[in-house]
Amino acid sequence: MARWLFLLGGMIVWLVHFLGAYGVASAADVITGQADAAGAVWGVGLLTLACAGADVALLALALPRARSAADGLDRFLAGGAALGAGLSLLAVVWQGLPVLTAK
Amino acid sequence: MNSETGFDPALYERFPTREPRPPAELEELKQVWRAPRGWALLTVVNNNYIGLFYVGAAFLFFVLAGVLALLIRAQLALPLNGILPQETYNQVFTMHGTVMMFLFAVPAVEALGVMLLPQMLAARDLPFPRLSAYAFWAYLVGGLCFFASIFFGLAPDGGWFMYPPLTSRAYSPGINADFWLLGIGFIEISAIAGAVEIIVGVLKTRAPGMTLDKLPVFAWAMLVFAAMIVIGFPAVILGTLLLELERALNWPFFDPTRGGDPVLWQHLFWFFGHPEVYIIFLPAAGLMSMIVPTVARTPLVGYRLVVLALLATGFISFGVWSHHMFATGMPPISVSFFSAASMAVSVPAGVQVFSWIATLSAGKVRWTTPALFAIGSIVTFTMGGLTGVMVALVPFDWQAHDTYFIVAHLHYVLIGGMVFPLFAAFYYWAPMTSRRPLSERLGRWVFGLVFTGVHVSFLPMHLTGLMGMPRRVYTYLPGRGWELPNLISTVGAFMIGLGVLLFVVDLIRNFRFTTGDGAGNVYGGGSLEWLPTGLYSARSIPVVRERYPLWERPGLAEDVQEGRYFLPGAATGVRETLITSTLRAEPQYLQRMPGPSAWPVLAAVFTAGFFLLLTVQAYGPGVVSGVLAVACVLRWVWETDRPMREKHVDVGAGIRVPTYATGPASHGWWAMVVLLIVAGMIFLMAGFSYVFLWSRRPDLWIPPPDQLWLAAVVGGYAAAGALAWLAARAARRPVSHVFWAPALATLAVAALACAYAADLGSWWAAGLRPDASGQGATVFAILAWQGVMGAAASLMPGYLIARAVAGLLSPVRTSTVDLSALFIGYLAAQGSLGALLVRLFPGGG
Repeated sequence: MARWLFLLGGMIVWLVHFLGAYGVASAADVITGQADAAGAVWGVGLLTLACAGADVALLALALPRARSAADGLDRFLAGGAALGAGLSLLAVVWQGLPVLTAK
Repeated sequence: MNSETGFDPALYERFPTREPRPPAELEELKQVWRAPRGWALLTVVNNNYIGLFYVGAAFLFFVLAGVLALLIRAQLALPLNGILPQETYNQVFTMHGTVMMFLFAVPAVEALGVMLLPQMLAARDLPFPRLSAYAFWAYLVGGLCFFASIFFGLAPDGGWFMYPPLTSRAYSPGINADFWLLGIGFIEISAIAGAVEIIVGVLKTRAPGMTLDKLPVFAWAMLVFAAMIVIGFPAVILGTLLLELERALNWPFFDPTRGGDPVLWQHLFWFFGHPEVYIIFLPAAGLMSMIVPTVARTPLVGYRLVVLALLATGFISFGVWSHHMFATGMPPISVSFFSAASMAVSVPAGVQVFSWIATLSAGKVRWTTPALFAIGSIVTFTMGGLTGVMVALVPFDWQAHDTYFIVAHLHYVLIGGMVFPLFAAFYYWAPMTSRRPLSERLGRWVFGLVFTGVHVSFLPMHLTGLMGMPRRVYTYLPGRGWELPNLISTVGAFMIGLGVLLFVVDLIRNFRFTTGDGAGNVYGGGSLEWLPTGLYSARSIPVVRERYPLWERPGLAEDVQEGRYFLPGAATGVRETLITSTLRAEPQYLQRMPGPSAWPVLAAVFTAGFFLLLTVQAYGPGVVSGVLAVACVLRWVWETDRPMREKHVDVGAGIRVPTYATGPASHGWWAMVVLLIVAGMIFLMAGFSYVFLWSRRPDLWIPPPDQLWLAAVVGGYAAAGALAWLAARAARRPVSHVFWAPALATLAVAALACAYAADLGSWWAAGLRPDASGQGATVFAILAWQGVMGAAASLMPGYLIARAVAGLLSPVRTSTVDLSALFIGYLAAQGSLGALLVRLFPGGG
């Protein structure tokens, strides 16, 4: 299970970011009547930074493993984890951008 | 080398073996795996037959839905046309979409999985052949009855997404909507049964040595596809249940006057509905990634990127559901998140398209019919993907929403992404199951007509939409500039129809089903499904060392056919397959497999009967049919988990493996876990519905019962969980204590029942009623779900006692008790979480 989590780590970070951003905005909408209230914008911004950081950490962990892997499967898993973290980093930053346009 | 299970990979070096095989071994293998004949063929479970039946049925529904499409286009060819009356038109377009999405697209790819995966993985069969048979028969019987509703004017008419309030009792008083809501119930069950089979099959029945980095891309795609069904389908299962409860019992989930909200339906539907597009596309992309390297005669470029793209698409597709809801008035910042995700999902899709283009560019393409359809797919899907990025832009979507632009976009994506790859697959894999390949000459005509027809039909629809023509209108007035594009679209639709007709002619002329002497590897594929096969799949199960074994080991086919690898015969004298570990595919144990049986067929017929009889309001016969379905399932599983004479057997080259396993190593444990994830997703979606409706009308909510009741409920469920755990422990005690486990399981179910009664009773005593408000409806829906699962759990103690009496429980064969305990334990956790949610959130009135 640990290896599956490692392979899918980037995707899981993206999932946490997406659900978190949607959840924060929805909660702000219900509580304050304004989905882009200042608290929500800051919340999503901080979540974006945290998730981007997690992706960078995953990349830092996976890339050396991919280079030093003993066999094809380990190389595949580490390389896949690195690629997933890279894609996730792109998606997380992209999805975090709307908070910059909020009023 | 690393090992996952303690298996020594050096043992693989013993293969291929050199000793001659016993002469009677192959004949015994054929006898063990032979299919029944005559009418008994209906009870067959071999994947070759079930796969073919499944593909054939899916194609039948494709043709039927295609005929409906031609009726739609005939009606719209001219303004104020009178071919179809308005009411009939509504039924026809609803059935077209519903049948294409639910009865064709998902079953077709699932069918190809059943047909191809065992051969591709070199397994004897998928791990639950009777489940595949059940899934197929439930789908066929139910699907035909569902489709027949159109001949009686009873077909659903609210669009394939069935939005309330249009589909509420007030605006759809007949049973047409019920046909959709209950009628697709069996399709959902069938799809989930297939998904369980595919997940466990891909993870646990791969040929030894087929590590994840050597897994065929189609198997990866099917794994992601099945996982997406497990996560996505529960949302629509719950949605249909809630809408049917509202229609039948007046529980106001979607009625805003009593605290419901029709937008809840849209959330539930599209949480399934958008991933559904990828559920359809990913397996087809997997087919493309198998076909393209063969036609280009070179390995797939960027295998690892393509696998990652499949996984990424699977994840990100669950973050785009609300892009179908941009026009519902969601807050701009929420809309922005969905818009961003919708654009992000184009990255992994693009990775796959570029990989195919690069592979075609790197190789030497043979312009065969599969190659033509593959190219057609790339062109058409890319065009659909580009308009997809356009509609991911919110301001553009507001303009194009509900116009023919969207009709054009979705057909480009679905036909380019799924139908063309499917036709490529028909031509490519036909020689595996037919004595003759399909005709290349006719195939080119089929491609030419269908490809041209698709673009003639759907390209003008972009303009029709941009000129303002809305979807789902049965006619239009002249003078708006819509006449010419509509006429052109109709001409294109009939070209597609002609192409499909020609394909049927090709099938009739050339397709001759066989299980042992197919035309063979005429296109030169490199993966294992092109090994010589019979009803037992490959004669022996090879050690896999590469992604394209047939290209890199020219002598492999002969060695496999001569029985020089794993499991060259029937080691235990019955049907069996090798179970391997999930990452490195190391041999773990030998699974005994079931043979032909009438019980899955009968269970499927009664399951379909249950749903359809309820639809036509024949409640008594419906309940009887449901009880019979459960009885058939129990009789079917009664034959599982049986003792084997030998505890360990030689599976080739002196390598011995156990004949039994329980816990996470076993295929049954994995299947139960997947099933519980489905149940958990339904529960999660019910929890979302509860919170969502609270956010709409908190003023209508009443305080929960006294919190002492919460302690009683959670305490009862905790006791049930503990007793279930003790039952699993007791199952390992000496055989003289064989009744302990059933007794403890009985106590566990009793504790479940007490906790449930306390939960239900306290809400009722607090004055909450299911028809009073959104709160009442969702609280009682969560309780109803718990009750349905509890009813299933209540059968388990009796079943365990019966097995103990029959001598089928023993301390070394604990799977039945383990899985029952797992189910009861899950139910205890679900009940506790449900009670905590509805009593602590929001906490007061």
